[in-house]
Amino acid sequence: MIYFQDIIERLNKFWNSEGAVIALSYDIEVGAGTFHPLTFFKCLDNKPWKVGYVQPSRRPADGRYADNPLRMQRYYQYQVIVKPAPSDIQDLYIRSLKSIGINPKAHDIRFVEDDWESPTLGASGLGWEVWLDSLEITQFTYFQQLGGFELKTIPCEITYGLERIAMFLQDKDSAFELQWNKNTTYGQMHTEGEKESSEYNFEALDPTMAIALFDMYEKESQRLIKDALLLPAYEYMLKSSHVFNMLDARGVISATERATYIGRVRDLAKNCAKVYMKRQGLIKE
Amino acid sequence: MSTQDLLLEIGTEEIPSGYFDHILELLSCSEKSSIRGLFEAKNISLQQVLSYSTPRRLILYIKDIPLTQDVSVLGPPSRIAYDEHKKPTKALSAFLNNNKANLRDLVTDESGSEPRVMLRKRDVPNSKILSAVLPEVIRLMDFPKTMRWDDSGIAFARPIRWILALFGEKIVDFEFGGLRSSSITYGHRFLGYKKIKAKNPESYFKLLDKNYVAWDNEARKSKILSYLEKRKWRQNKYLLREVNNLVEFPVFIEGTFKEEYLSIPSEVLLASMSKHQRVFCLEGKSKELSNRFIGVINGNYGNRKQIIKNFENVLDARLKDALFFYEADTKKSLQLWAEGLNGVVFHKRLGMVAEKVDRLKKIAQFLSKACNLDCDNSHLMRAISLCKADLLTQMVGEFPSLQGVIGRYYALDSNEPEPVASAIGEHYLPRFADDNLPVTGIGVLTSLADKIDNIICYFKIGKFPKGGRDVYALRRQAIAIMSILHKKNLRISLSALFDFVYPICPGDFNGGDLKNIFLDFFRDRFVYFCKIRFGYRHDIIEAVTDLGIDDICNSFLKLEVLNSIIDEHYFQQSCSIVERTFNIIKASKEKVHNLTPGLLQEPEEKALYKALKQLEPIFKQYCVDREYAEATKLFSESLSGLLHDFFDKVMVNVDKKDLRSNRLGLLSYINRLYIDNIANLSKIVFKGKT
Repeated sequence: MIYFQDIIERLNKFWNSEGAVIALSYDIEVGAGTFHPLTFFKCLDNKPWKVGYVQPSRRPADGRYADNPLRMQRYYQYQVIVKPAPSDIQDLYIRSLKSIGINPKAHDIRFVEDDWESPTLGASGLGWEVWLDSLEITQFTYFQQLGGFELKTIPCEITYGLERIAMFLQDKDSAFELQWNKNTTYGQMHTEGEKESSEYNFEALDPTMAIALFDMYEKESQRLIKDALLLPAYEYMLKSSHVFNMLDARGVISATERATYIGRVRDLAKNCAKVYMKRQGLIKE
Repeated sequence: MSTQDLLLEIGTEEIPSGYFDHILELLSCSEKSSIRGLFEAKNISLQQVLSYSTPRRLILYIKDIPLTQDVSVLGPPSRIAYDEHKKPTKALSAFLNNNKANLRDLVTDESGSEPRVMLRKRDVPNSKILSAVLPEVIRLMDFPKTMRWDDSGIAFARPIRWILALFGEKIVDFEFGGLRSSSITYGHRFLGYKKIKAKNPESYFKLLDKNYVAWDNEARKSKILSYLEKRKWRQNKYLLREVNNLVEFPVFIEGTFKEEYLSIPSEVLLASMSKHQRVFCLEGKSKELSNRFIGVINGNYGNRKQIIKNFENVLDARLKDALFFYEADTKKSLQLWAEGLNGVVFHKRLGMVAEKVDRLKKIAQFLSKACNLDCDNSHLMRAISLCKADLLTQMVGEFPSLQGVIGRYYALDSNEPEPVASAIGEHYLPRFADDNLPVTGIGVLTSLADKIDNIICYFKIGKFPKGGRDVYALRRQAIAIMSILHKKNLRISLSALFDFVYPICPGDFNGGDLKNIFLDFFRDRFVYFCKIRFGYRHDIIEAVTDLGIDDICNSFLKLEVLNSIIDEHYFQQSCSIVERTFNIIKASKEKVHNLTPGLLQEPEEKALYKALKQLEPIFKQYCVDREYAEATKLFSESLSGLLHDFFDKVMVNVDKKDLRSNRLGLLSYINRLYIDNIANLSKIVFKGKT
């Protein structure tokens, strides 16, 4: 059996051999690997860049009290950025699937249109979700815009859904039944946390506190960006984004307010992008 | 003349399934296609043009193009090309040099205003000309969304990865976006060979066949359809089209899901299966949904058992999710959901949805009275206050296309009365051409109110549909309103409706007379609708709409009636009456014609007047009763002969002003009687009419 941790190891090995930096997860709550500074900032400039890393990702609204085999409020992405995208990037991706034991000839692998957008990052791209026997295992995107900027050098982002791939390879019906290694299951590591976090996000979170936190994080990010403390400013944007996601899951934000909150996070992200672009000499004052 | 076939294959990464219809139409070089012009401009004959597609390739196949053609290049005028001694000038030498030609290739072109030299190039190879045309063909392909993938500056639906271009056995050589055309193609991504060389267009198609590429999209679709038809599929032609564009080599799988999921509303079940997994649900004995489905996969016979199991697992998780939404949403009554509508923006310049709901109540009550459509008012008010509530639910968040449908289920779940629930489910109808119309009275009123509110609100902030752009689908909604009025036989004055709705809508339009814009908009839509839906003759539509279409339902009826009597003698006579009177009035200089019975002199005009007076009350009563055929018949029978005598014996344009005006007044009276009550028949065109 190929264990959960083996998949990570093999993807690391594969992308390492392709010349990518094998980085580590970011240590602040993020909604997706795209939020990692090694993706966000490194995709803004025009220099070649290859990176691969695991990113634990938080989606409070997707919590299901460990009751749904596929939906969780915290899960693992394997994120790859290749910039510029080589012309055989799809083949490269398929080879990476082979490296973790998926035989494309024995399955139905398809690239199905899925235009990707991250309103909070001011980012959008075109590409596909990749299907493995109708299971969406990867988001495959050519970034077109990031931080509100039209990109000149187009990066390709490949985001593997590790639980789904592992379920497939281990023939499990639920992520919680996955073997992390020989002796430990995914469920042993995460079931309790999923239950508690789902309860917290949907029921127990104190909205007043969270709203206050959002305002504080936003203010701090704005203050820091004025002082050109780029990474700290960016990190407070990440924190505000996560608090917003929790508020959203808690169901205390109306549709109108929702758009406003997203706009506020996006403004923070855009400010960071702007400062970075200036430093790189890509835009003028 | 020997010919060859041209083949262009654009190899891409997977193109979105919704993009193909338009692009295949373009590639077909039909009369509408802009690509046609590219070939025509270069005198490339388009005898037989075929176009095909798979998710990874767009194929253009033009048969029987001559190998060469003679090309003419127009040069300078002869007086500049030669000096007074008939010797070539510098200008001519430059022209010859530019075209690498000699004096003996020149002829004189006399077709213009003055003679010019013209170069005749014989037997120019078409392959060379095509090298210049094909890149332009690719450049002309447009898509709803395009992307960039490298620094070539090219934007396309998805990255282009190879270009095959053959003219017979010869490569049509060109470069596009950093790619060089070649004779190399690729088989099915997993089952076929990579990089296969095609000798000529014919062998190209055979090679694709061998390499698991069903390149003929129509044949591929037929294959899928015939399989589904054998299996009692729940028909879904959109999904069929989509699925067809997701595979290069269709193979079928059949699976099942847990029967307990059949308790999920069928619309949700179907949306979940079609939107997420693109599988078809099968029907049971009495057409109800069964727990069986069919998937179309992209080739692969070998491992089908495992693939089916994997499909089933994914579907299970999806349906579990749908059930989760359903159960979570229905923990709250629909009434409670509706209370959140004051936090939902309708449009940032048009206020909240809750305010819209308040307006809908007023408009629906007005409509109910104006159209004489009785219904239980408390049910009507209840339906309207709940009709938008489902917008806030998780289920509609997941499946936006199910708005209304979900509201109906949740209303029933909240023990709302059945007529209230039905109306909620009906109020977005019809959502597209050929969709069902609302049936219940409350559903009809809610649907009409919602649509008229949308149109007038967006008009009031200047959001008119323009050209191909109709962001808020206002044209569609106008047509929906007309369909409902027509089908339900509801009579209402559009201008009165406007007068009622306009003041209660937000927005502050100040770019002209909005009522006129509104009425013109509806008339345009009416004309379009009548042409497209009913195929009525343009002149009949013109005749009926000439004076506006304030009462839409009645305008439909007039069209139907006039269309049915168009070949009747009495109709043609009526047309002649209206037209003759119309022409003579139009020709007169004076604008106002008064009819004073005392001034009538000649027996023919007196007789005409007497008949007119006898006819008028009966004619008008017919019109009130909407007996337009009877009215037309009476009109022609009463007046045709007498009018003929009148024109025979009575001089209209006499010198005496009061007499002249009186006679014109008589004719005008006859003319207006028909036009004002039925239609402007002077618009009718008869074949062979002089």
